[in-house]
Amino acid sequence: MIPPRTGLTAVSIDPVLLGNSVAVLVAAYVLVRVATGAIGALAERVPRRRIAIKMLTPVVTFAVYAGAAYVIAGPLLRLSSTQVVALSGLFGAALGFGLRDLVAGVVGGLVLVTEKPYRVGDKVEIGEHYGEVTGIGLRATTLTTPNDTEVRVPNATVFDSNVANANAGAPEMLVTVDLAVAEGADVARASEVVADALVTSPYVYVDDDHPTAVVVEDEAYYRTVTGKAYVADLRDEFAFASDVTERSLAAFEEAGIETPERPAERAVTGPDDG
Amino acid sequence: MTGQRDRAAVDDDAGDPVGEFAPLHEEDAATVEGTIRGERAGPLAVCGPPYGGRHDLLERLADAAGATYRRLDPGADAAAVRDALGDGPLVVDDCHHLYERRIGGFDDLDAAVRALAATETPVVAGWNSYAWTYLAHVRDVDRTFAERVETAPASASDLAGLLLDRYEDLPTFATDRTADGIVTTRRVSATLRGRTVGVSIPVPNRRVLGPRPEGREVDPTDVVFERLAAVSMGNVGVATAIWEATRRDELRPSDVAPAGDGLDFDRETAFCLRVLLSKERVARPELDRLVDHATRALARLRRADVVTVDEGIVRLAPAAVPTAARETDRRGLQ
Repeated sequence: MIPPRTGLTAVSIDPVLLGNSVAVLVAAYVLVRVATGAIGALAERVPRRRIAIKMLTPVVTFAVYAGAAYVIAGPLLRLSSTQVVALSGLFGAALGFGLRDLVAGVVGGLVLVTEKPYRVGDKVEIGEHYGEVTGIGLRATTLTTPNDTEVRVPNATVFDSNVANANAGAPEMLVTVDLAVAEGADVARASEVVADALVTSPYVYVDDDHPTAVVVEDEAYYRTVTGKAYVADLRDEFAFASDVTERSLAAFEEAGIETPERPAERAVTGPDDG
Repeated sequence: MTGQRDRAAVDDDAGDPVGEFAPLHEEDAATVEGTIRGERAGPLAVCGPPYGGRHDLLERLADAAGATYRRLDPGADAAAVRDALGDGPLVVDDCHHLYERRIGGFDDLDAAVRALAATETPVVAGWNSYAWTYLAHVRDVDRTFAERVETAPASASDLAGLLLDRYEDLPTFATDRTADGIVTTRRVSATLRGRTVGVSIPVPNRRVLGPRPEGREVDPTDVVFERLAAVSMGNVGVATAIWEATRRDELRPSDVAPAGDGLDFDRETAFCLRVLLSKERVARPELDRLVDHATRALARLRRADVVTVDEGIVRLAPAAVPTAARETDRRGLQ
């Protein structure tokens, strides 16, 4: 029987070539694992350069897989120009129907690598998710939330969501700590306490470029004393906030600085009760 | 850079671990003497690392100029400074004992600094350089002092001269069996935004790259003392302690290592080290207030010969200063 004429020449796949391709893929996978592991280990040895070093992870991953794809596609497919056109059409159709999100994710990943709106190690808020960037993959970014939950955010999200980056690649990060004091409390003394708590914390990082500040805001029935300071390692964000809060509240109590009453207590002991 | 200036000449003191070495450049020594004699207005700060020879130097300069020398102890209060101001020219050392790193722990420091700013009495104040840097950032102490001078690190030849003269039973010096690298490090002082810091910079190893005269080998003594200067950051007291701890019949550069080298410290132990590095001597109750699980941290540090505890006072061992500085700087601790 004579096969119908399609305009396409048959593509013969050499089993050896196929085996080589699989070997290249496995080698690329192993290389990525080893390289990212080594980068991670090196980053932990030099905490002050941790984020800069970890930034290499997605770059190396992309480079290795792109190289592997090139090595495989060349000899395996040996496409003619006609085949390239035909496959492009198929690829376009596939994109339109099913792979759009995947490709958008990959393109988003490329944007992340080139524009660097955030890097591995940064503390970011993407959409409704906040956490440390622990991985930037081909399709999605992995965030580890304060509750140690891993959230995978598609890379394409960077095109249509706001991305808030708390440290922009620096190991230091500004942390704010809010403490409420009663309306009639000595706010000046409370501010001194919070200022001392900030600069005496083991986690703080202070220099001319990383100053501390205390801001007082007047709320409806109380005042908020907000302390702002940098931590040397952004992973200490919550430990720092906890340390400052704990010691400030203890000092408030020692100094007789009252914290706001709960609404129920306020209602019971309000001015009408005389 | 400060490495090329002449050093000040000071009288010998037999009981002084630093000996004839003066860890201050000539013009800085003149600044100190001028301040004590009242020729320069405003208080002067002299900063130096632990065991760098600051105490002996200030005491000798005070004696030479007829000034009162006071060394503050852990727990010192503002009254200790205020009272001393009435006795004429004053050299007050270890001013870092005026603060404690806790809420309300700067009150005495603030009061003492206010007294220094207001006095007409010539005053020279000695500070631990780590504490000074911290206090300059968090309390602006640098604004009170008209001028500040830093003690200078010793070079390898300074250390060789000092230590080889002092000991009779000298080891045999040898080079390490591994070949020297083409890059070595040199310790230099750099001033950035008014603060002087010691920095190790990579430089070509001229011993390897440069021409070697026929029949002339590298002197292993020089190599050992260059290593000692690099490890101790040019700190004479630290270099002396490391020298005494590593002396043996045959001494190679790789034998020269600080105490606690290679240990992996956890966060609380590292913070404990930073407090000790900044204050040199700390009363045990103060450490309990500042460091979580201080007992555990201290036990570990004592086992590694990094600290000593004597009559309730915890001291950072001189040979462990490089380890403490490296480990806490690495973590960004202040």
